[in-house]
Amino acid sequence: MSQELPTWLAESPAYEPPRDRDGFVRTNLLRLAALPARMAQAAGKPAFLDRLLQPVPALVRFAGLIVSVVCVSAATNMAFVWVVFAAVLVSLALRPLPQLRATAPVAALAALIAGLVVLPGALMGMAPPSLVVRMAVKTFCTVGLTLGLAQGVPWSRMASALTGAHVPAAVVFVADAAMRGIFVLGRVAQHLNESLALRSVGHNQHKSGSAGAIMGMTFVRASIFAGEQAEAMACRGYDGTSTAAPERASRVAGVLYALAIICVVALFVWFERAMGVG
Amino acid sequence: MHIPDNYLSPQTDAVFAVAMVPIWAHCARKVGKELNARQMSFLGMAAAFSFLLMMFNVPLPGGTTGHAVGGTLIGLLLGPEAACLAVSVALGIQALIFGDGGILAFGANCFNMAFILPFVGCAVYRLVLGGEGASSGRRMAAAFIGSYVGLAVAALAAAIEFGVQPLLFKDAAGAALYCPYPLSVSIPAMMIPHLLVACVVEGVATVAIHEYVLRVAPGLVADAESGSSSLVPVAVLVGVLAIATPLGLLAEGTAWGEWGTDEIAEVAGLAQAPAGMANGFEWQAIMPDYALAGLPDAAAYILSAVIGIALLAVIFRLAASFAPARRSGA
Amino acid sequence: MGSLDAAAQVPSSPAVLEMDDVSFAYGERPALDGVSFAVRRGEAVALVGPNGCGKSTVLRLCVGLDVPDAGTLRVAGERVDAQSMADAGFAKRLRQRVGFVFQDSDVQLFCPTVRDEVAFGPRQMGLSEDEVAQRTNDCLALLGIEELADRAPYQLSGGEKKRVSVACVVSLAPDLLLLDEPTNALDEDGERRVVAFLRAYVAAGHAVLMTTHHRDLVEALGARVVRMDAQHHVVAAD
Repeated sequence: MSQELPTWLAESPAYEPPRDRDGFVRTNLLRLAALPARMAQAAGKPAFLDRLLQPVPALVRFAGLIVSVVCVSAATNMAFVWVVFAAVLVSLALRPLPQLRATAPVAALAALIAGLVVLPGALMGMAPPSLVVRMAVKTFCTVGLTLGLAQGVPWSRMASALTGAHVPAAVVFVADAAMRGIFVLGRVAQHLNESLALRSVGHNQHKSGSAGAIMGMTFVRASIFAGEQAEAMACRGYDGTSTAAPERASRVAGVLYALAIICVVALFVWFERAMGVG
Repeated sequence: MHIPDNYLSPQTDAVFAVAMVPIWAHCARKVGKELNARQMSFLGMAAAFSFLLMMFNVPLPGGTTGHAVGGTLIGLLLGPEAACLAVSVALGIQALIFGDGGILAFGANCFNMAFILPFVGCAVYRLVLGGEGASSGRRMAAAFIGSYVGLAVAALAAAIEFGVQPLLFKDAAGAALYCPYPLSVSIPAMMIPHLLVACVVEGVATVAIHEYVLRVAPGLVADAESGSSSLVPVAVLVGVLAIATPLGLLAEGTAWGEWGTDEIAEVAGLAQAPAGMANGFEWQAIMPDYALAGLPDAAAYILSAVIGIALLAVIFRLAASFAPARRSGA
Repeated sequence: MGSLDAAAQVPSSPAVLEMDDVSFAYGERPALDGVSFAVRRGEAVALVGPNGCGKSTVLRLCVGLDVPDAGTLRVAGERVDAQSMADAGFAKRLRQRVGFVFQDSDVQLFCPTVRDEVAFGPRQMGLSEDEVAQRTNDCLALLGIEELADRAPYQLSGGEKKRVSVACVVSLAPDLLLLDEPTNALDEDGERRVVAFLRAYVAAGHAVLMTTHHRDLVEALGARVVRMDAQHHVVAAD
């Protein structure tokens, strides 16, 4: 069966695209393309510290994170914060390079922004200049501690820990589905954005509509995925109990880790008392 | 709008974390007492969608872009209770895995973006829509106004949370320990950029995506009526915020340290302004004496050395790994 | 490492695509290693090889979604690299000349209706509404999807989506069509229509570069085969 092409398709006229500002396509592509790298655990062998803390139950490590962040945030004596800062820096310095690249710049940027936000207040006399440093260092510590935990404890292990802690299976599943969905839908959104970029060959008069279409179609895909995932799970006998096996961890290691956290709290209290506080 | 740690006191963080518990419980009950597999799967995907929305840039007339939070949008698509849960999960993942938004401030962030934003936004949407049978123009206006107002109120809440910190949490010398900006600064500083830019982005994104989904897949949108909730909590909230706003007047007269060098002499009872102040702003030492109370000199010296070495190690390892960026064309 | 100038088969036609010793990696993972081949006007070329050998990566480089780490890539005589792709005007000209049909149609289609989908590209090119409508109707007819014009793309079957994907790229009037597994999901009739269109397209002096596992498609188009191996090299060509 032979076809005859229309004239406009059979020829190859030169095309000069009209000018247009559609940098939002480019910006979104870069951000979405970077998402898998941010989502994945850093490649390569685990950090020394993470290998050491491997037997510690994930929930105990998470509780330790919360306690540490509270102490850093509440500290009025900067000596305590500097000690934590030193510890965070040492742990960063000992991490494999991919983990270092995923963690240090983020913490540094957060610290910089924290300092910059407070800076006008210091310049105008609303706060002492030391608050700028205090905020920056505290922010570096808290973000560094958080990202360190995220690097050291894979999400799958955290889900197992939540299951073992008798957190409702529904909650664990929703969080688990969200983590998976971010990656899957992120790729869908990235590909849709690429498709838009490839056909954005001129002046798009409906940019917001196009951006809306990308996210709208992502929502549609999310709805379809959710339905198909539920059906697939039903076909494999899912009955509402959690899909994550309980975590295997050492109780002894958990107790030792908890003692270490108590020591951190004791240090915090000691420094605060030295300031005449508490 | 993500509040990082250290801007709010741990006490403030705790208050909002506790306040969110009954809200989450109410939303979980409303969405489904025992979520079936389909609903749980859908909530997970909704959370992922919320997460992605906060990464997605929306173009505005004039060539600028911004990103939406999307609380009202998700409320319009799935109902405000489902939006609260989805946005909360997204914020939790952002805080824990990506360091976006504080861990301790999680409760405050959820209060602003997962509770206030979708509930106020959806309530205003229903108010402007005026019931079933509205024209598409009215529906678009309702979506824009609802999301605009929702984000504005959420921003106001954040501004108040910031602004009360210097009033309530000071060190022995009377200096702010956390956010130093009183209400008279935090409210205009937050509200002006939000009202002029961020809320417009939110409105544009909400209308664009809502209209697309209604046009392409209307069956996927939750019935607004079935997701309806009482307006009482919203009214109470708005009332509390209205009463709290005059606190800004208190901050004016009691702000510390706003004296100019020509006033300080009179305030302090000196013949002239101290030379150091008269010469203008200067940095204090990184480790001023009072901040190292409790740490012996030798320990402070060692601590400095550890910090210095570790910092250099981090910087040089990062610098050594730097490679020419390969950019993908778009 | 193979480095074969397979364009020697059609010596008189100018090359619309030239790859010379191109290498590319996704982060630490190599995808292409010293790939060289050319596609000339009036010919169809089929890239074949095992899964993961880099076939789809070749297509992505040709349309500027990624740029080579090493080597030279030219489309219609113009070099495609990070510097040229940074120019928005160049990127748009490239994407008008080179149409890319994704393997997964679900991520290609984002407009509310099929008609909107096909009209999206021409509308941006500054054509009048009459010209846009003409092109749209022509493309719908070429792929045999006129009756789908007012349907939402996401509700269509896999084969219907695939034909819509082809139509919405063809409406840009490209010189080179890149197709990633073009007959996936197509039924017999759909495949017949797509093949007939591609034959006419090549006969009109344009070029086609496709990845496929289907030998009968290669034979139906009379395509020249460029074979890749698991080490991401080009190892043979007809």
